[in-house]
Amino acid sequence: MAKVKKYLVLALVIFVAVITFLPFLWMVSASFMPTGASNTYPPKLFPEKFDFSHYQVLFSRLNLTRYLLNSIIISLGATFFSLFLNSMGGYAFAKFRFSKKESLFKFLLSSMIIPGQVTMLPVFLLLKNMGLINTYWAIIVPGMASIFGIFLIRQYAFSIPDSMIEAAKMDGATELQIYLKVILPLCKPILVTLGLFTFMGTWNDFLWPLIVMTDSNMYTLPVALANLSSEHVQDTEMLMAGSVITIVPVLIVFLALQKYYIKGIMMGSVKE
Amino acid sequence: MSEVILKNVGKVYEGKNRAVQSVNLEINDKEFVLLVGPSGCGKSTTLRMVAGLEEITEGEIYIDGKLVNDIPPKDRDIAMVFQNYALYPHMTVFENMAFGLKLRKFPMEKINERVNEAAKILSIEHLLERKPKQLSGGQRQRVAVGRAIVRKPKVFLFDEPLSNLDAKLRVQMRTELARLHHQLETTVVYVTHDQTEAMTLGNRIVVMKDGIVQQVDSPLNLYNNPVNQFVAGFIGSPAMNFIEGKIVNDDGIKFTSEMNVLQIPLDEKVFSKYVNSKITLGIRPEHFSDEDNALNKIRITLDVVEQMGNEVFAHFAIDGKPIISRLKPKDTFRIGAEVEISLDKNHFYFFESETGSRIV
Amino acid sequence: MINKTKLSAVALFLGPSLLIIALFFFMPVIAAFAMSFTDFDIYALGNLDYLRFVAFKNYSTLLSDPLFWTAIKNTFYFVMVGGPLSVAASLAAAVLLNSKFIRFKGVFRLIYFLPVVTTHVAVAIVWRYIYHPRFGLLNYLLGFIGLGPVDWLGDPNWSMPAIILLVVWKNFGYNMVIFIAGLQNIPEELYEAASIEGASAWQQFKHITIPQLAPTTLFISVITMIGYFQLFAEPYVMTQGGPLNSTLSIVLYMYQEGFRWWNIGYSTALAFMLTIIILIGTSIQFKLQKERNG
Repeated sequence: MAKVKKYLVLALVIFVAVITFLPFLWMVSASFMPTGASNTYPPKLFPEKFDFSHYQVLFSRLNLTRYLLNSIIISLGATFFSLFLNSMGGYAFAKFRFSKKESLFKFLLSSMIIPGQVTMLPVFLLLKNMGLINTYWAIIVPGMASIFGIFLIRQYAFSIPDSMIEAAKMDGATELQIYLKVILPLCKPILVTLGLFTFMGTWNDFLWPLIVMTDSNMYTLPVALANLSSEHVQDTEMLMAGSVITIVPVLIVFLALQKYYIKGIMMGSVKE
Repeated sequence: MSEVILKNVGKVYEGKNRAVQSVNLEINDKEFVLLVGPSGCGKSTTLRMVAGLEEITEGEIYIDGKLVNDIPPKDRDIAMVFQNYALYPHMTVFENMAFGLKLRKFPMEKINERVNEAAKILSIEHLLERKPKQLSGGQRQRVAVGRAIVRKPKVFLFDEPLSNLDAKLRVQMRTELARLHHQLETTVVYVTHDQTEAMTLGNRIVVMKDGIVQQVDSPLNLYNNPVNQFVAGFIGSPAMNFIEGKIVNDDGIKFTSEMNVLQIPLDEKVFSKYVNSKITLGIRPEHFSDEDNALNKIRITLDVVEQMGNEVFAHFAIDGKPIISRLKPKDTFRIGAEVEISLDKNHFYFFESETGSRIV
Repeated sequence: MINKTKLSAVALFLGPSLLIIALFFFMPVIAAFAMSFTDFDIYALGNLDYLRFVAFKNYSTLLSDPLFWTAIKNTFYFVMVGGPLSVAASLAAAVLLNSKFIRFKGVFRLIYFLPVVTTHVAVAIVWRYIYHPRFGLLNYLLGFIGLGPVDWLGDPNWSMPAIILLVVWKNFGYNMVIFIAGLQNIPEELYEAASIEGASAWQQFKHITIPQLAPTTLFISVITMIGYFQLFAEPYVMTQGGPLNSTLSIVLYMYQEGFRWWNIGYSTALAFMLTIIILIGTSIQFKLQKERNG
């Protein structure tokens, strides 16, 4: 009886894994099929011979290098700034003493229920007035600080004992030195988590870059890919190659640091 | 010269929570002073005001003749050892000890010299490259002390430094701290809730309760001449016994315990003004005796007997109140045994029950 | 209890992040609210003199706009069907992976999680082909059990189920991770006690797992609902809201009104409708939870 149960559970787990993985498998193998080869019945799961031409075309004729570069610069830039600003803010909320601190933080938290879409038009107009539309800053600047990021750092910074900060004060450190030499090193795990969230969130974001990047030279990969998909709707294999290129960098980053990502989800789900 | 002077120092938290009330204290150069008292008595707050970690809301603190009220901790030339050591986990032992010197822009050779010197004094030279995580409790304690001594500050502050150690290690570190103070000849202010630590370490002890200094004195004076019932009860282990009663004038001035078990004739000159007022008698455990020639005998039944080898702690009741006595060991001391016991009248302490202050 | 931190330090540490959040979140929310009472459109964008205060006109127009009601209906369809399905799939996957029979849990968890971190757009493109009526993988597989073929994205009756299926596939891993953590927090003794009393696996699930997970489930339901009300990328890439507006979501409609036709006043009014709906939805969920707890 227990054995039947065991194999049943195992079969289910594997079945779900196959379903989850199948689209990825098909995407990768279709990207290596010659043009038109994926549109057959029955669908083929593996290419008969490998054809790299779609990747070549994407990079040579379709400007994908530029989009890849845009995505990398924007994601890294957003990550860098958001780590700094959020960690300073989160640390201050966790360890500084000033009046109205708790009520200010509660106010921030409760405002998280407002969906970001509300702000899109005003922010767009603001950035337009600042002359930042079609620049990397249009994506980086609004994402430099987030309530969620501050929350995440704050939760973690609580675990740093006050005496650690006091010891540094006695050792002669200024507030800034305490932050740079004691707090930041101690917060390394949560910084990796937040960095990962920011990097992947920025990389995968679609709506905002679609709005602020109207010049095709400034497209990020998802926008370029969406654009490509409406222009080359018949060219399945090419689109799959484009999808692979869009997904692979973020998957590599995720696979390398997945432990931190999972931890971050748990921390984010801890209620006050 | 590095004396620390507290003048009318007080601490009031927002709201109106008063943690410390007009503390006056002069700590001499090279003195080892202990602040002791139950938790919440304001001893840590007082120390932290000296450190600069806590704002001084009333009064003045001088270190080495300089008013430090508005001087940040780093400029007070003091070092502090924290209860949980507060070692930086991402730095090695060497880096932990060197951190304060680096921030003060000491040249590298000087830092090396100072750290090695301190490591040698504390015998942690072999640990310099380790991270705090790889150290035992006692070793961390040493590193924390090392971090304080490399800076050669005017004053050392210790905030319950031994309370995270197990009992055996605590005794060992206590001895070492005493030796270290002797060797370094620096002013030390040390906070503890453990009266044994206080008695064994300090030149002078400051006993605090509810934010108020009760008595400042040498360990022996505190023990022999407590100014009030609180100090008398706090210093000494096992603690002093208290028996409540009142003064009556019945064929001369007498103390009678509540249930009349004890009747003690008293000096008329001192006690006549206390007739009919409530008085508490204090007597230390060692001032009981069961020797044959003793006077003032009363009969008691032993409740608990703790044989320690060289002595015995005998528990019994007088007037229904639990009493601990410290007697010479005897085989006949067993639970339930009836013993004739006497109280040494030369070592009676009398306190006004209401105020707790001692009647001399 | 430490000293109060110096005001200059507070300003230095909190200033930058709060400035960004104020500038790019709070001020825009207020501005959007103000704009929703104006006829801010492409002419006003060129010259602000054309801007007029119209009070509640945008909101009243919305209420009589059939497309708005279509978007509301579609979004609710998506949230009401996709949300519970998504949470159920996550819970099922979590329970499966938490089973003591399974080895290499880490590997399976990783595979289940992969869709979560994958770019929406890429996923939507891939699934557009999986849903292909003639060559698509899904119809091929359905063929084995004698179903289909279904014109997933072309048939207005199937387009929303197709999007729900895709979104469930993409998201179940996220909540699964939270559920696994919740499951691991349930003391093993509870199950041992129950099995000694003769409770079957299903009874244990119903009487121990589900109640013990209630706080986790509430949290997951709320964040899932909030997220699902904001459906955008999938219909944008796969169907552009079609066919016959069957996948037009509130955010997609808002995007079209705002950034395609530059009806900014109208679009911000739409955004606030969405906010109100989310607020109501969240409070209903908290209330239901409270009632269930008695």
